[in-house]
Amino acid sequence: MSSREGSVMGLHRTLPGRSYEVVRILGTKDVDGVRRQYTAFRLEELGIFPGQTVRRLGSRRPGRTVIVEVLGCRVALSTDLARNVLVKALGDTIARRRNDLDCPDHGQVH
Amino acid sequence: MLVVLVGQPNSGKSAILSRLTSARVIASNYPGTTVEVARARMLEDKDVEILDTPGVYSLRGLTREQAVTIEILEGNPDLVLNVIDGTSLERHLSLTLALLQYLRARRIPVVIVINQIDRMREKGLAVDLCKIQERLGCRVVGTSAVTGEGIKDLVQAVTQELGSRQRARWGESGPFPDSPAANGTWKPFHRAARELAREVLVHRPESGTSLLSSALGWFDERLDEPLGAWAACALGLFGSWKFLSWALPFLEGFLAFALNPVKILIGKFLESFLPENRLAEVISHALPEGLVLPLSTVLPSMVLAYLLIALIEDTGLLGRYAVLGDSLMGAFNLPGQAVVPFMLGLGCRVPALLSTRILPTDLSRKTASVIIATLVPCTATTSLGLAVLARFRGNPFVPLGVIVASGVFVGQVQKAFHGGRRDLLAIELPPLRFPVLRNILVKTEMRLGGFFAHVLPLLVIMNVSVRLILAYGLIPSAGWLPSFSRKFLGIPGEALGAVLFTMLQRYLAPLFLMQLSLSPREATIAATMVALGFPCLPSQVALSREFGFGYVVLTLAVSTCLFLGWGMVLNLVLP
Ligand SMILES: Nc1nc2c(ncn2[C@@H]2O[C@H](COP(=O)(O)OP(=O)(O)O)[C@@H](O)[C@H]2O)c(=O)[nH]1
Ligand SMILES: [Mg+2]
Repeated sequence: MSSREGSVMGLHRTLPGRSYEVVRILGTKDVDGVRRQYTAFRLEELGIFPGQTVRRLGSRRPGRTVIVEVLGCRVALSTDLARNVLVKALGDTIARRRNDLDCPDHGQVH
Repeated sequence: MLVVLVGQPNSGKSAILSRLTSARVIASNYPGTTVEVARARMLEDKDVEILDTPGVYSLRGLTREQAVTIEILEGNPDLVLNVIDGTSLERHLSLTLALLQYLRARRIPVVIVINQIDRMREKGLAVDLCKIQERLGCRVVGTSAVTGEGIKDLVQAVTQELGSRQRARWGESGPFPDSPAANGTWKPFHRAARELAREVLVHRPESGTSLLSSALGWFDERLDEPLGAWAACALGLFGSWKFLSWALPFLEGFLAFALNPVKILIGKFLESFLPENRLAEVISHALPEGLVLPLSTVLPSMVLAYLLIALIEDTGLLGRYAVLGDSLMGAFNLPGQAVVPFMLGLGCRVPALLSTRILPTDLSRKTASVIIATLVPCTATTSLGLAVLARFRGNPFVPLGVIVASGVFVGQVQKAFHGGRRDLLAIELPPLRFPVLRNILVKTEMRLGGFFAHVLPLLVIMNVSVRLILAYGLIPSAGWLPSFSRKFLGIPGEALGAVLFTMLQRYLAPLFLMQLSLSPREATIAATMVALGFPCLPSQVALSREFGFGYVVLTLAVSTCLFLGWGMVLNLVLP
């Protein structure tokens, strides 16, 4: 389990309290094989798509799900789905700066 | 005139609808609760009809909800109200931008409703209404469906937009990205939404979060950890059990006491004008009984079960249960969301079958429906089944174990049929909230309304037919049934008759068993078989409405295999 800045990993292997940038969504075969993109679309609607910043919540995985904060909301994903979300750790400073910009609700209130 | 509410799940559409109309709509703190499209007339102007739609994240027709919403919009409504949760503006604005583009092409006017401003204030957030109005080129109103703030402005905006009679004066400018293809990516909308949110959000000093909401926030964070989540789950179960064991006997006693005179009165009334023959006698007994029995035996547990579920839903704990349930539901080849229909099924299978619509794909819906229709013990069977077991000292863990094992079996068979696929959990978790009593009562009432409308009439008819069958001795007590039953299932022929009865009337079967004299072993086998018995007629009707008649036949076949199979297995393995 490495969370060195820059290395790419599945969302299920992230560390609690840290922020990550979504790099890529892998296709999965969990739903209607016909529409492989379906999963990516569903994730995208919940706010998880390449370029987006997510923050991992919870130190472990309740019910084998990964809980992340994205766009100011909590989103829960099955581990098997989180596996398909490739993320890259953001350095603390970058993360903090991004968070301030992304989720004003969690930034400093002026 | 038709006004349509569109927005993401949990933005407060249903809450707004019940503010604007006298309708009792389900507002609930769980995404995807509006499965039926609610429709009601506006209080101020009865000519205006308002439609609630299921929540959607986009308009790409990916899910059933999206398809329904698009279909409604294609009907060319007179006005669209886009409801937004102001506390996560950026997230909601992406839908708004796409929606505006869609509506602009069709010249349908729109009012943007930034809801939950009470919560925004707590978080120290505000929206620059002038600026966002200017940027989007349409009217924007801030409301709180909970406190009622801004609702007057909204009513005014609605009447003005409808009154102006001229189709929207859409400006050509606006932060609209190019239209994505139906299957295109949604990213440009997210990007534009981010820009816009940054522009229009104003940060204020927090209005001082109340002690209550900071406490709720603290609990919410604990629930992100497995320990906290399981503790909350266990506490919830324990609390429910305590509550039920206190309230159930009380309510049952009360209803039995209150309804007895009614039963006698109806019976007397029927006797007074029906001719004096055997048939009339049976009917004048069966009809009042058919009316009163479900009310006094089934209704109490159903009311309490629904109250509890509504409470769990309204606090936002349901989403957490779905998360915890994800690993458990995996055994049934279902995603975590399936805990919702399963829980409803503990009340009554019919609403449970309808609520399977919240599941993401047909695969999950069908799997869940078969399991619910054949296995989930509803209050009608649980209370009476337990009574049978208690009376004859049967073992209640046998039926429980058999039900779970069968559920896993059915789920895995479905999985094998579908090439090992399983839907995976992906949901937004709503924040914990302090439950609103009115929400809970309205929701319970609506669900019970379904019981009275769809289930009770069928139960009465079935009760009369069952009584007629009994009175005229149409149950095959002779022939091969008793010997087959004794030999292979280890129960008397009458008990097997009761199991077959479940086809007609589930709660009469245990009552029928009560009248026999059974050994503990026989009682255990018979009660298990009754628990697995056929789905009741109302749930067959619901199944056929959802998936067609072929599915009903399939479910009946699954039931038959399950109860006969388990009957034989238990007969072999039980001491
Ligand atoms: N504090 C607050 N809560 C709200 C407001 N509007 C809705 N809610 C709550 O938000 C949750 C979701 O509301 P609902 O109407 O079911 O959303 P829908 O999914 O869009 O129909 C419920 O728990 C409501 O009580 C509001 O203006 N303020
Ligand atoms: Mg709703």
